Amino acid sequence: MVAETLLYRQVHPSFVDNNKISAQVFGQITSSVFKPTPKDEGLLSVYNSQHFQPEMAHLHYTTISKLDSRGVAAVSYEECIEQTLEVVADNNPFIGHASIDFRDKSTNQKEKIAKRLKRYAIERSPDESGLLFDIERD
Amino acid sequence: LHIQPNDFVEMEKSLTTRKNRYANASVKAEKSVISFKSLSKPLNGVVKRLEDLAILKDGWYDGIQGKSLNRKSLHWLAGAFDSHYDKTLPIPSLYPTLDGKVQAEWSLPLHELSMTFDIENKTIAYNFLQLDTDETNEGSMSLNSVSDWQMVNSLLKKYKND
Repeated sequence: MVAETLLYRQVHPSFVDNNKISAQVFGQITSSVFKPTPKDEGLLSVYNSQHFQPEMAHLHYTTISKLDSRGVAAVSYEECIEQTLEVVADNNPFIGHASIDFRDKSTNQKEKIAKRLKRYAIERSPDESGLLFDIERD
Repeated sequence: LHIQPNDFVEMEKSLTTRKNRYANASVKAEKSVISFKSLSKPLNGVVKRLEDLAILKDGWYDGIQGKSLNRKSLHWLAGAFDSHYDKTLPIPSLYPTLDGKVQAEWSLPLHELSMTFDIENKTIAYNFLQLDTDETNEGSMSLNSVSDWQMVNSLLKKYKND
């Protein structure tokens, strides 16, 4: 990976709030998008932009993995390193899979990092939703 | 799970189907029965969002993870927001958590704020991050009385002009 490599994280539809009354048309993601779930055991699954375009990552997740996703939020390899997160291109369980390693982070550190990564994703998205690819918008 | 050439054909076919599915889901949501009390205008988005969260079933996240949110407790939160939340403060975005709570978030220019409502035990945990200094302010409190909500408003007022 290089500094600019993007890491696409799938966003569950319930992790986007469309109902906020504001100028935001497409809602906004929660920082929980960037927090590993108990099942993740500290390793946040992402798609590597060296192997996937955002839309193809979404299609792979929903069609091959058959899981629900509203779209993808993106952070860069460099942004993860800034947050002292190790990123591993493990290519497991498929080529193009990578893991962001939160295993040495405390609960409070995870909370802070998730907020930072959310802001990076918002800045990168075209409408401040945090979604680089949105099945409803794109 | 390696990608085969046929997988891409399948993906292309499914794109239109999925877009239609989301469009239909939106229409369905619009037609759902509004059973929560209508809140004052600034909080219309809050009540609609809490209704959305009320329909989540156990396993909503991935079939295994994701606890459903107690409908009666969501009613309580909607009513409490209406009665006690300072309407001059920014309206938060609301999200479910995997353990059946409600997380409110405010993305402000200089701060990223979150409050997690344990709607069954009527408590909150808050975590405020100041982006330029990396300082955090965190804590927890009960939400059993009007004065508790006044404390919530007071915590958020510091960021009103952010």
